[in-house]
Amino acid sequence: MSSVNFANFLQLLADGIFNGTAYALIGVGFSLILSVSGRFHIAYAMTYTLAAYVAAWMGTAYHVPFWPALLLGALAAALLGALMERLVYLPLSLRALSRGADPLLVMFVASLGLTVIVRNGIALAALQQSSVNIQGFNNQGINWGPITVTTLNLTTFFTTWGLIFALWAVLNLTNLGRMIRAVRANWEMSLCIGIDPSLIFVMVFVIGSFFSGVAGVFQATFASATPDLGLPPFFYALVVAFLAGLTSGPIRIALVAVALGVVEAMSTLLLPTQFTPLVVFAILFFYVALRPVNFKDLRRRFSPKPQVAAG
Amino acid sequence: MELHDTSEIAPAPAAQVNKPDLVVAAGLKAGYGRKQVVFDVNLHVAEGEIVSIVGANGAGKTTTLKTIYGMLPAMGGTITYLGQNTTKSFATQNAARGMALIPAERFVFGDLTVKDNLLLGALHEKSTAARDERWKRVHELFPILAERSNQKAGTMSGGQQRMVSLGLALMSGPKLLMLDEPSLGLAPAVVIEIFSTIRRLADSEGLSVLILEQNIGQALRVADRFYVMRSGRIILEETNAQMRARKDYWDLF
Amino acid sequence: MEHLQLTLSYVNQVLIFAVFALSLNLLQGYAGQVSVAPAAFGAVGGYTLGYLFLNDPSSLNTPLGALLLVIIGSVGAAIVGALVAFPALRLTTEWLILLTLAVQTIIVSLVQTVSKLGGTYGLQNISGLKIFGRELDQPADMFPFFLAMTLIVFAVCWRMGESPYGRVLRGIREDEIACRSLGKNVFLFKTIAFGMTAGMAGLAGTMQVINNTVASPPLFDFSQSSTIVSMVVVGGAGNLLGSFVGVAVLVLMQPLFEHVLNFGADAAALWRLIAFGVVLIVVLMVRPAGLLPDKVTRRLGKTLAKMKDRPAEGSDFVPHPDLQEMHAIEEHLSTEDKVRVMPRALAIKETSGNGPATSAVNIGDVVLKVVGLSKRFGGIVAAENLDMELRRGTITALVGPNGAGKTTVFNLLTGAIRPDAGEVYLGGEDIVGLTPDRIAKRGMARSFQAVRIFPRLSVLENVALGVQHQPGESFAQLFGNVPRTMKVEKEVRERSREWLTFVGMADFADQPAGGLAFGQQKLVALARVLATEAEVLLLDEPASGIDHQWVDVMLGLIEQIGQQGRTVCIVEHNLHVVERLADHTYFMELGRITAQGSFVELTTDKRLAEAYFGTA
Repeated sequence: MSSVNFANFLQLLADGIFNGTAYALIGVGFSLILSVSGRFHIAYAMTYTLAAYVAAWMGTAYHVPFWPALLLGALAAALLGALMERLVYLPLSLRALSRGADPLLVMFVASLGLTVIVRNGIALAALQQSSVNIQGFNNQGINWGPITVTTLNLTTFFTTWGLIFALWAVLNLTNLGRMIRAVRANWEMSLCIGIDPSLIFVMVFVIGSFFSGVAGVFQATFASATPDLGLPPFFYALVVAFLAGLTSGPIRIALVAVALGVVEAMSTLLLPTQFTPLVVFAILFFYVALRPVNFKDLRRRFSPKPQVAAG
Repeated sequence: MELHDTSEIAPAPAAQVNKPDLVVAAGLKAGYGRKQVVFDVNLHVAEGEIVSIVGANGAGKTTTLKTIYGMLPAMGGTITYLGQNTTKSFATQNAARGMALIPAERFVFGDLTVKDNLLLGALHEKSTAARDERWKRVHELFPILAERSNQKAGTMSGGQQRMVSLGLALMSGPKLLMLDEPSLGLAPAVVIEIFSTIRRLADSEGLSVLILEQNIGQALRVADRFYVMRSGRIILEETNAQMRARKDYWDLF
Repeated sequence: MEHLQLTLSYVNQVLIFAVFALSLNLLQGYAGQVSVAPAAFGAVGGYTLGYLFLNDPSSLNTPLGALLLVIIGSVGAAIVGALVAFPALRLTTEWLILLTLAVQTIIVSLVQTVSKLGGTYGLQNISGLKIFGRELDQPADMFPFFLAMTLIVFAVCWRMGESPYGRVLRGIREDEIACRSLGKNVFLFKTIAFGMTAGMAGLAGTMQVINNTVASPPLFDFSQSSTIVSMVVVGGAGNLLGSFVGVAVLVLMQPLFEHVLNFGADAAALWRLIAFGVVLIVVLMVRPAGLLPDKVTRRLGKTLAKMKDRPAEGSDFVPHPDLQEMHAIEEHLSTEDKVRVMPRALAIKETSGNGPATSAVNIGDVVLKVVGLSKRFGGIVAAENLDMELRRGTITALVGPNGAGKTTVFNLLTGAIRPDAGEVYLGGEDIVGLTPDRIAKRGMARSFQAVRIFPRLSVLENVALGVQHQPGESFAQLFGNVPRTMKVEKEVRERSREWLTFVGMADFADQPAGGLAFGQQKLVALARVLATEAEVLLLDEPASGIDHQWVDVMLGLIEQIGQQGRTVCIVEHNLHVVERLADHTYFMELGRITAQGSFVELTTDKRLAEAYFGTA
């Protein structure tokens, strides 16, 4: 009896780790965007979805093999992210600041609008097709003793961790990374040393959206692409980003994501499967409810506050 | 005692009249959004000169500094730097031209290491040689930075953080260094050390410095000339000797 | 007949979403609390109705019929809303978004997974409902009921929003901290707002279910909530009529695309959402207050639009003619010229203490006594063993170098921070541990160095929020005793005008406070804190950041306040102000009071000079 349970446990663990890895990419991407630029960018879910559709379209219409299609999809996502920042978020935040309004709320509502536009735009463009599939990936199961993993699991795992380590390297070893971390650490001081925050904002949108695109393509390889592909994973990304803490490095965020995935998988031992998303959202709820901290730093990204006397 | 003796601007004996002006502000008006805090400021800093603006909190010193640097748009008046009109320039442009600003609070990147902080200072420097040269210089001036190179700046003491911020500023090879209340919260011994370093730099390299201070006593150690600000205007200009000779300073604030 | 039913079905949709939008507008537009969960609260109401109906259809045999279920559903949603309010009370915008997002996803997840609630398909066949004996079958049957509900909700929202109660809500939107300092129990207001909004959303949810005969997850999911938020923003946050506009724009786009432009039904549904998203972004860009902004915001927007923020090439800052006129008026009236009418309430019976004179503290009762007040933040000593006394009819000043802890003292006294040790006796009673609003009600009010006026409220409304004991600010009285609230409101406005006249700002009563010059805003803030009629006034840097003429005006006013017998304590960096005003001065260094006495005494002390200005 116990050997069956142990195998079950291991399988759940493996599933949890792989699911968690899927959350890691988007958690890292979203956290990067939010912590550096301060935009509560819900439309992040849309770059995920767009990449899936672009990759699928490349495969179906132009017979592009899997990896180039994935790259194209991710690049499309990166471009969309950059456009959203440049054409919508940045002008709106400047306008809000100049009339003394709270930019955060304005941009959040704008991101709702962007989500609606892109989600339904994609649905419209794909109206003729019932479902969209990524071509060119031969997903096979592999047996490792008591557990089964798929080649897709492994591909996602290694690609994700590769990207995360790459991001870590960029952030900690390059000039650009230093500037990004500087803007995140102290927006006002970045101005003092002559960093143009709006350029950095675009950069993190490009990187973060690229990550979401990769994740979206992998998800659509697993299940087919639908216009609502991005929203449920996005909520997971939110949970991961806030649980890990917005000033954390990518590796730590990814580890938190994996932990969350494992917790979610393990909860099936206690609850029926359909309740597991509830576990994740409940974690988010209690985290927010029990954490009485004011998120002051996020606002610093918007306006240099007048120097108030310490008293 | 009259509250608004804006007429009382003491004639400043031209101690440094030979040296050209590095930066000049004329009729400067500034504030935040539409809230005007600086109403009419005229000042200048010559090359190699250390000038201090003193005044109480709320007098408008920091606003003036940030406007000169380009972090805030000027509401009126002009700013001239190195002969160019920089009234409408942004901070990024001015930083590339040799201005450096160290704010009064949160003046380092706390989450980043000392090394990262210093490297950030040299962002606009193209020449590796110049960068290496300044790196050596900064570590000579503040040896402790070498010891703590990999420590997060936010975990260091107040005085050490000030050194990091100065090092950061010096890495950019500035011509005009602007400091906002550098002595705030520091032990007198540390302040003396930092101020004498600044003095040496001004004398040896022709670095111009603009210091905002509430602490006149400390500023007297290092400043050649003083402006006194109150309620958004400059009410007085004096040399170091004149300021030193004052019986008390209560009616300045 | 077909045509009528079709038209009415669109109208019904408008009504349903109007109820959603009106309720959210109250919470988000008036009270400034973001919520992305309106549809989730609708789910609570709608599923309650559906579940109760399906389990016991005989409940419809009562005369009320389905109305009873509607009420139960709404009340249920209201309770859930009030519960959600608890964690939401301390949250700022970004965290509120997160919290309400969690609530939205949890509730929808729940109804989707609990099998008794129908799972993915929801509860079906909710038809045959009757209200007052009339069966709700066709759109034409539902229309009168929906219309009645909508009008009721509109009336409730109107009463809550456009009343003294609503004034407090709007104050909370603008600046919660300032509201609390004026004695408003912000937590209670927020809880009620959340509860009422959720209840009305629950009502809309029941309408949805009746209209669709099903209670299913897609009716109440995140995109529905997001649509409702967009409607409120597009229509105009803070303007209830605007919500109708926002809803109409979205709902009526469907027939536009489907019948007028002749897209297929599926494509039309997508196109109208895309179009609405575009409208939303365009509105945010060019008309951020919405298509129908609230009155004050519209005026403020016009004032701001005319002002130039950055000067033209090389020229001086030229204020708009309106502003120039304002300045001209101000400069024309010197301190002596201004007519000061003492508001009736200002005449305090016992006047003791006259003006600043000798070094001996003026004779007057001790109104505020501070004993051994201490506070540390980590390793930093913010306040250590402070002993202070404020006497009636005197002006006391707190001075000290930067970092001495002066503003911290005000924060400790008003309850914004809790001290580690010590007592604060106001009128003989220890107030340590009380919240800021309770302390304000007990007679100690403060002004802020950053002014903290309510920009999108009129000047008069700003001051009116200072007036205490308004029945219109009580939810029970608001609906329970309308004539009294209206009568008192008139008095409140009159009193507020008197305070404005005292500070010289009566001409600006209906102007949006956000459009004033900073010096004028400081005067309004002074009038506001005076309107509290608090015994003790703590004024934080009343003369900072303003030009010297304003300093004069402010000084004169504070002098008069002192002469009328109020107890005033000021923190100031401008020492001329202190010299002129203070009867007694405390000198602070690094969290300790190291000297006290008259200003002259302090300034002759060499050691204090060194502490303040440093040693050479």
